[in-house]
Amino acid sequence: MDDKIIVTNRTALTAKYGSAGVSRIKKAVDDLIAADAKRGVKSRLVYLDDAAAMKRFRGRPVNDQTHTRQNKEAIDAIFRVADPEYLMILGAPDVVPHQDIANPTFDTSDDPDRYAFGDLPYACDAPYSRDIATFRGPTRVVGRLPDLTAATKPTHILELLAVATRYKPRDAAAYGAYFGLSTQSWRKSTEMSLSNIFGNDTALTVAPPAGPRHPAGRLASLAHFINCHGAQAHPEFYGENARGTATPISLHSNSIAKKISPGTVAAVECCYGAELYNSVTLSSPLPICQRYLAQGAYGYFGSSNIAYGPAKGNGAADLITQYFLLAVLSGASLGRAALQARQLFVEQTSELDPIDLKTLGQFNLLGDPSIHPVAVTAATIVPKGGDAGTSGRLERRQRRTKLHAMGQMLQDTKPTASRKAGKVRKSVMVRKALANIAREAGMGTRTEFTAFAVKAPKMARSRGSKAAPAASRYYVAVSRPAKGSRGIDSGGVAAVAKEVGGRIVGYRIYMEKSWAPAAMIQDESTA
Amino acid sequence: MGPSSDDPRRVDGLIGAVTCGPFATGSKSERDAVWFTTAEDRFVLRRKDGPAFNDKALERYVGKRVKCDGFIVGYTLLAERIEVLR
Repeated sequence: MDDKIIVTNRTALTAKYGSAGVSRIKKAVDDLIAADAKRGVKSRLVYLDDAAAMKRFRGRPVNDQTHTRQNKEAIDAIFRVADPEYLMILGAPDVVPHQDIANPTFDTSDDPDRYAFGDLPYACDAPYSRDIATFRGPTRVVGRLPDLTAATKPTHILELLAVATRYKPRDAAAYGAYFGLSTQSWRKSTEMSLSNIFGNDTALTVAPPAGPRHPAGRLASLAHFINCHGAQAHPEFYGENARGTATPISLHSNSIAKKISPGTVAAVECCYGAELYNSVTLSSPLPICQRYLAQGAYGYFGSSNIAYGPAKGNGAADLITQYFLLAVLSGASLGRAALQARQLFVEQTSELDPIDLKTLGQFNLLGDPSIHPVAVTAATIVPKGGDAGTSGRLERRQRRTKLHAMGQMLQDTKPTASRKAGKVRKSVMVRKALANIAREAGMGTRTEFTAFAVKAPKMARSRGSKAAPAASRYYVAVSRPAKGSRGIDSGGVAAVAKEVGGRIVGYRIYMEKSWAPAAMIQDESTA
Repeated sequence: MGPSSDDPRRVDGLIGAVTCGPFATGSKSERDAVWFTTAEDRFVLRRKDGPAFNDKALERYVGKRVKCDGFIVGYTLLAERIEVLR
């Protein structure tokens, strides 16, 4: 039985690199498989477009590399038969596509991402779907080692494969010194995140005034946590002053060249922080995520598109990135850390509202999922003459069984709000509460809220128990307050209100970071 | 090319109106953006090698009809050349 399966698409790789290029990649993968074997991990390469290989998994080969359903079904077939402990996707989305999950908060002006592209569906047992709520219960350990989108020379992916081949775990202390980067406007939120992860926020760098160049000593830290602005197809992150009036560059792909240490693990909250855009056709610098990996970073956890989070508290992107780094520091493999981060993110919500769902779908792991950056001493000692490899495999299998059960439980019980409700007649009480929330957010009391129906899986419905009642609906409004409201000039706000039994029982407000208070969860008495 | 890539699409002589307006409200990239509106579509306008935020060089096009060469990536128009139409 294979512990780790590496999937890719030979047709797509050949179209990019030719047969000679593919041979070099195959040789590098063979080296990785040999190194994995020495580490007690039995690995195998599977071409998703190879009919004979897919037949062994009772699956159909991918005959159109861009076809998201074909790719999802092929990977599902592999899991049904082989149930690997790690799945590594080899290649950028022009080799094996991200899945095209619909973005529930799509709006042409306010959230123009039609899809929350990502690898979450590959990490779930649920069959192909574009409804993000289908993937609320991730169970699989998945990561992607990306080549460069539209590249014609395989140099980049060969370097990344070499890093995975020769990786070495380190003591947790090596990851204790961190590089933390935040906008001024989100400083409070980032301080909270760093304290939660590292126990202090003393090494936080704030932009402005810092950036885009940072001292080599700072960037050499092995753990990175970044909370800045980002943009589509762009090699820069941006800071922001406390008043929100200036957004200077905080980090540039070129400004980190030759400064990232091999073994770095990065958790990045920025919008588009892990977008694998086509820098080749655009003749632009490497995407920041690829610049990290090209310098030997072991893993990079970030978002494929627009991300959300409050200014001063922690929510959405803040949480999922924290959970990832915390799991890495406690000795998890990168892939398990990504799975645990997703599961914990789902677990900590009572229901997944539309913004939670987009967050879950958009964060992806770039890196070999079987890499363990941090070495931990196992509590169980293998007796003399015992087989450490078998023992390690057994422990890993037990962990996977537990994670699978957790994912299944989340799938069976977690209510979601991914679909807009039909025509909703709001009670007087609800209308009044929404108007109050809109007024508090500075939106104007006539702001239109969109209703999202809450769908609860069968097992989530209480049967006369004292379980907390699930929301019947969520209301979402994204708007820009009138100038001068709340004593500030411009700034936008997204408000999410929760209705139970005809009453608004809580709400969250995500505000523009320059002037927002922490995201608030309040009860109706203040609404 | 996978649909996730928002593969760059070359455009030459694309004509549209330039306006300023909010973008990605409530998100981590919220800002006032420069928009480029054609008869069929609406894009965030950026200079291909310019900053993504607060690009002062685009301000002079606001309120004008322009012709652009460049790339469309997703909802973004990365302009290599902008010409004001009289």
